[in-house]
Amino acid sequence: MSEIQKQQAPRKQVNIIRNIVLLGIVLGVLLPMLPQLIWSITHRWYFPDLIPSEWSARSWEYIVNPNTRVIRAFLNSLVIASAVTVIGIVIGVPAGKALGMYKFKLKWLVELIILAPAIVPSLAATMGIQVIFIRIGLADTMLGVILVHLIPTLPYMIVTLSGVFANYDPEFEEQARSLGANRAKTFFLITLPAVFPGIVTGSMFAFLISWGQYILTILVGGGRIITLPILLFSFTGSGDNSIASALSIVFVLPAIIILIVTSKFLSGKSSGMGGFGSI
Amino acid sequence: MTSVTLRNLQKTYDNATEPAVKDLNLEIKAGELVALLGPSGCGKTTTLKMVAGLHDVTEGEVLFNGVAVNNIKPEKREVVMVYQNYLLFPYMNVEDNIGFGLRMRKVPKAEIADRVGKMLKLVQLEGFEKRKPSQLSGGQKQRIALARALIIRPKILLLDEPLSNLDAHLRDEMREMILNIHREFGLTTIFVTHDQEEAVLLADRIALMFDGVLQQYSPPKEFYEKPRTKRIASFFGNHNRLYGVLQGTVVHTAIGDFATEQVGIPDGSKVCLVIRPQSVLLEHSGANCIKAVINRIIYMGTYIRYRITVDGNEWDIMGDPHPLAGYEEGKEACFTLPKDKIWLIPETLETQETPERI
Repeated sequence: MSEIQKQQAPRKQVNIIRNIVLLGIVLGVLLPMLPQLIWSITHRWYFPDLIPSEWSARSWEYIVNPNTRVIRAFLNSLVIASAVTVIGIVIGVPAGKALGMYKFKLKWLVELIILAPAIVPSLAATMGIQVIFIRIGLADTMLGVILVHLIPTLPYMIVTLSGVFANYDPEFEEQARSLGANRAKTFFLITLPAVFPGIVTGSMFAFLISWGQYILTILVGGGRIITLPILLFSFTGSGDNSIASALSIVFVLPAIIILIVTSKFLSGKSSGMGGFGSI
Repeated sequence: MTSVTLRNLQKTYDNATEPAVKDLNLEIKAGELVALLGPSGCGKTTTLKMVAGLHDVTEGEVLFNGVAVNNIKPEKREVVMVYQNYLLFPYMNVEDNIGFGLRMRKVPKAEIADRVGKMLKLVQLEGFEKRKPSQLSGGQKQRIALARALIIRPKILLLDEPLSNLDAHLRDEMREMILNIHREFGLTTIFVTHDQEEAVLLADRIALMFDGVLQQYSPPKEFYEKPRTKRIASFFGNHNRLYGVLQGTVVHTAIGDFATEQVGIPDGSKVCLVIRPQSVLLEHSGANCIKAVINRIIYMGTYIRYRITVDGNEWDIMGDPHPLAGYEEGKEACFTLPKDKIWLIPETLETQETPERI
């Protein structure tokens, strides 16, 4: 009996340590949100009060009020991030396939150029782009903002998808053809399910990076294209903690929803990094 | 029942200088089981994929029952390929994998279920309908892949290295299954292998390829008894060699004259005489006899190996597992080469061959 106890003891310890670490991570992520939540329903909260002295739904009313810019900004952010994601997929799938499956001359250079925006601050490139966009009339437009958001998002999209395609065995497509599937059916029944986790992972990166952009949006959008981060910055700067907190919660929510929805593609066997061929 | 004809078939890949398959001519009878044999990179899989329509033909024709099918898409050819690594679709369970081809043909659901059930019975995996490919062993995956191919009743079945990924005991089982299925369905079957033993065990005829070129196309037995070149002889294992010049039906060599029954080689040709280790007799018959000192005797359990040196070439001879009087290490003994077992390879043919690696 004592031996069994000896064997179980270390495992128990590991479990305890694991749970403590897990709790720490969860609290580390969630705790900073707690003051925001409290602030968002506060009217007055002065030092050294531990809890606010006056409560109010003012900031939430402000957010859902159709006469303010919040809903507009939210929709702008949504449209821009979605468009960036879709364009990212359209460019990322063929690019990822080429990089993941084929060898060609100067491939290392192409990879470097694609990765460059993720390494070099995109601000550096955007300064030059802004001048050109003003000249060709893309500055201060939604399209201009969408295009400039592609700079920091495409590297993540392409790298993720090239990983998926590197593990992808094109003979699955041949097998389907040989069993009687035409090109279209082969694509939808075989190729797409195989690369789908990678597309989801890459899309998540693209959406969230675009969703969180501030500097690129303000540079190319010129203050005309109002997105959530821009509103958030202006309220934070103006010192209205209450509305800034409420906005930040609205700002974080989509990210959390996306993470929950896509989490099953980020872990385990169906991971975007695992792919078709490894099974 | 479908016959397959390959006529002057040639394949050059986009960025290759040398063709992967060169001017290949092959006639496969309806219902025949043919092996494409050769070392890796010899063009055998390329050939198989051209038959399936999965690779474009650079030159030449693929004909089914005498009709060219070059322009028929793979999904319309009714030719199914079973890959070496099975390629079961990972997101589908066994039932959906096997039924895939029928779904593509819009067969009613009830009929699909019925035929899937029959197929699972055929490959002895009843009750596996709902399993995922990841829950199957290698042998089971292989059988599911076979069932998935057979269910659409293809005209031609193509197998890529059907046994090479399996354990020894599974190989025997699988070989039996392939032979039974081939017999039952009467399917024209072509399979690719690098293993001459696998080819010999399964095939009615073997097409041996080296470097994209067909070397010999004949029943397995002839590869052992009548190899066209020394390289073919080497590929099919151990054999003994002796060089000489042919005059009539007699080969004159440095160690004596040997009578043969082979015809068709011009008089005065330089020839390589080959004979397999088990064909040499341990007896003194007067004619076609070699006298040599036995270098070594190795007891192998089911037989005894004798090593001798004949005109500078190392010879291996297989004899009965019972020691024979007079055949002892270090002593001279007589070995007879039966004239019907001697095979001659003209040396001129050999000059076109690349040097052997064995």
